[in-house]
Amino acid sequence: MSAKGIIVLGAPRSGTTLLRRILDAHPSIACPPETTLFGACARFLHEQPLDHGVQFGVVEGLCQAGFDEDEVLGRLRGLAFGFLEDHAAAADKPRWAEKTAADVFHLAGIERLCGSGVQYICMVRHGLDAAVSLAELTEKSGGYLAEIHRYIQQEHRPLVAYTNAWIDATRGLLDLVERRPDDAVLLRYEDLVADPLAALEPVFAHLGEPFGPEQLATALGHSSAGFGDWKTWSRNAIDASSVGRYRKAVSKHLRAELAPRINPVLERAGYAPIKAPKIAKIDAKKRMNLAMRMNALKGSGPVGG
Amino acid sequence: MGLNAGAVIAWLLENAGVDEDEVTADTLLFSTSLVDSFDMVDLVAWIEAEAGVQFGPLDINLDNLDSVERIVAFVASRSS
Repeated sequence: MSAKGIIVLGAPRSGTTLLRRILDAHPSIACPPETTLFGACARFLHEQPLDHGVQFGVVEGLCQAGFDEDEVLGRLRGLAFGFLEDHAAAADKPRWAEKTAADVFHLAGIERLCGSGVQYICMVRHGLDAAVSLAELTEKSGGYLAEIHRYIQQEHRPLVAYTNAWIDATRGLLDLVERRPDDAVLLRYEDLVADPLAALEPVFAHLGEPFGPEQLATALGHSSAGFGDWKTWSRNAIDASSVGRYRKAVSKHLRAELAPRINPVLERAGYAPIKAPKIAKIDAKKRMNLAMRMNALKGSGPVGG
Repeated sequence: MGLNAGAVIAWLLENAGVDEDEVTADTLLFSTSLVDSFDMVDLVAWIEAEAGVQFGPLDINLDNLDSVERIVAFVASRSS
């Protein structure tokens, strides 16, 4: 039981890289930078439904060639786990953990592959904070994850698209925790940054591993280069400065629009629902004229640029 | 109808994403970008409804709107 691998799951920008640092600093756990292994496995297993319930994909294809599903999944699992086991062995640690931000969009495939053969740490963060942070990352990196593309196709406003992605991802995580109470544990980013030791205690208890203040100190002084959040490496202390950023970054008009969709998921994850601010009823033409006059008050700056 | 500073500050905290420690009666709101133009439009609409005053085109200026105390003074000047 205690030798099982660990998969960290969370919507992008939920603090999973911080958790990866903490896991990797543990004397018994090796957690490399994002390998993208499990997302790749899930894509490998992708199927298209055909008529009569037939699933067109590699599992069905190999079944036709004489390999049953367990055989296919076992070989694929062996490939993925093998890399991580070798990585852990090279670090002289008995257990591996894996965290890749996009994995949360491949939950079904990952669960199909790994089942109860791993332990899952499901990390959640307030959806609007996660969306704001993802918008910031997209701007800095010049692109977004391929898994986010369909949300952008459906909604041209990035914050709305990222919020929709968070809603889907978080529903999936909460479902997983409910479905697999023995295999999965939930960790909230806000709890982690508010009181790391208290928040991590049940997580490491779930993993069956000891954890104490000295290990947290080690984690923050520990680094290894690779894919993951660039911000976490500039910090050597956990702080809560990123909590509640959405209050300034998301307009009240947008909050009012998103509240009915995001609030049920927020509440299910243990957050207070966002308030849907009252929007003043102003004739659209008057609103535009007022806004133009307000902007004209700032009109002393240079034009263009 | 008048308008007091506490009510304006409460509106800003509730509706404009302003933190309590960021705003006092003389804090500059718009010229410092503490409050953006979208929220300023809503603030004007709220003042009109709450205080029963109307902003004419020439009333939309920083002298009347750029701080809580200027807003309160403008409303008082129209209410008297």
